[in-house]
Amino acid sequence: MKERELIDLWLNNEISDVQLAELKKSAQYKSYAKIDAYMKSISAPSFNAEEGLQDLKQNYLSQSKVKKLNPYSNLLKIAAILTILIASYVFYTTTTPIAVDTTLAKTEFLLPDTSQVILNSNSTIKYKTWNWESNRNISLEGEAYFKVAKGSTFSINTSQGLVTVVGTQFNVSTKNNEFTVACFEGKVNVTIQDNVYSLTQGKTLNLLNNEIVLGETILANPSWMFNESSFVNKPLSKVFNTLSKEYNVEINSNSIESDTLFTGSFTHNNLQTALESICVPLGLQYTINSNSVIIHEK
Amino acid sequence: MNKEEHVCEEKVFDTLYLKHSASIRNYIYYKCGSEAQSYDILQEAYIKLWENCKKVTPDKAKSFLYTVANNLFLNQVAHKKVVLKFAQHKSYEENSSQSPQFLLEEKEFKQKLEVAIANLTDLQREAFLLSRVEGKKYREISEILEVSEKVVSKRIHDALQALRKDIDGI
Repeated sequence: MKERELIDLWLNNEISDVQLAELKKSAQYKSYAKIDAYMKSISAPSFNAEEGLQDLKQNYLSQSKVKKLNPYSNLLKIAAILTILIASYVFYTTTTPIAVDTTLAKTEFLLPDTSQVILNSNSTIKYKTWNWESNRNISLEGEAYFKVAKGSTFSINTSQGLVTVVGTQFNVSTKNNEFTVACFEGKVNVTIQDNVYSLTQGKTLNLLNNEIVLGETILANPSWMFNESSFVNKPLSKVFNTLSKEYNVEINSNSIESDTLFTGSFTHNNLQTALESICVPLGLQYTINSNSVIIHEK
Repeated sequence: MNKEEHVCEEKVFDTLYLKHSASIRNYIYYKCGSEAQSYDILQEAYIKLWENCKKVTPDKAKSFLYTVANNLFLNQVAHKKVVLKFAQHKSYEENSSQSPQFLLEEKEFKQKLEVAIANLTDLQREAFLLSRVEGKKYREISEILEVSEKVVSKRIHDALQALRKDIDGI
């Protein structure tokens, strides 16, 4: 038998005494035997199986159970991020003020609580949808008619005064340095420089040149809502001013008495008809050029 | 072990642990030289056994554990040079005298041998230690390493020759 095979037997503890005696003669064996003697005296670092098993059950196995829950953690993270993004978007869009403005035409729209607003031409409204139900606050430049749904205090901010209402219909006008509020239903409070004026149905307030005049109206709605402008004892200059803006034409009334008072109304739908409404009762004539109108005596 | 028994039963699992854990831990220790790492891999291997207890029969559990442990080892990064630390439990020369000369020679030999073992290839060292320290026979080693007995024999012989060369200079 080759020496190599004998060594195999020896390594496996399967060598017989006879074979061993033969092997001992080899120099190779002597060297190996010395190594082997040393190897028998050593072992791997100590290890306690009972402790290992305890450790496994208490710490490792419970850990792996926790790990098994984790497949959802990625979904949760994604859901959380989406929620934050959506919430931020909603917050941004509802707290950024919405501005509605008109140039020539009038505009009608609803506020978040179904309150109606009819905005006259050349007017601007600003409001925030955030928390609208409890904070109904609007900024107005120009003229608008409001039909306010019942709810928390509804307030309109203008540069000249503050109007607050609770469930009414009213008109607010801030043009030409003139501030007018007319109440058509319910009750309206107008605050001007710390003075509060209460208007009930049919009552109006007019502020012009720091002079406040309380008046009345028999109309159920402001006339401009019917595409008309009405005037009660207003100077012609003012009437033509309004006409000019409404039709976007230049009106030359230099040759007539501009102080003449006019009571009546004109339509917004037809310039000629409108001019007739004003001129005929006062005995005036008008000439329409391409972009301008000249008013003169008969 | 009764073939009717399942690994999912705690008693069966416990027995498998007590029987094989030391061996497996040592095996991985010889591969990586780290007590902590080999212990972790050991525990992970048993966790995998527990997780797959329905699919593994008790008689296949041992080879399952060795395979899993080996794979876990291979998956871990950083193959540094393995320097093993052995626990010494007795003086290895039975009829040793205590002369200073002798003790010094013994110490020198031991150091040389440990360096030589560290210089073996991974495959040689692994087979050699399973045989000489763990006392396993070729049959069992071939099952663990998943190679033939001839390959086991070759690796051990190569290891012995390399060690002899380092120590004796032959």
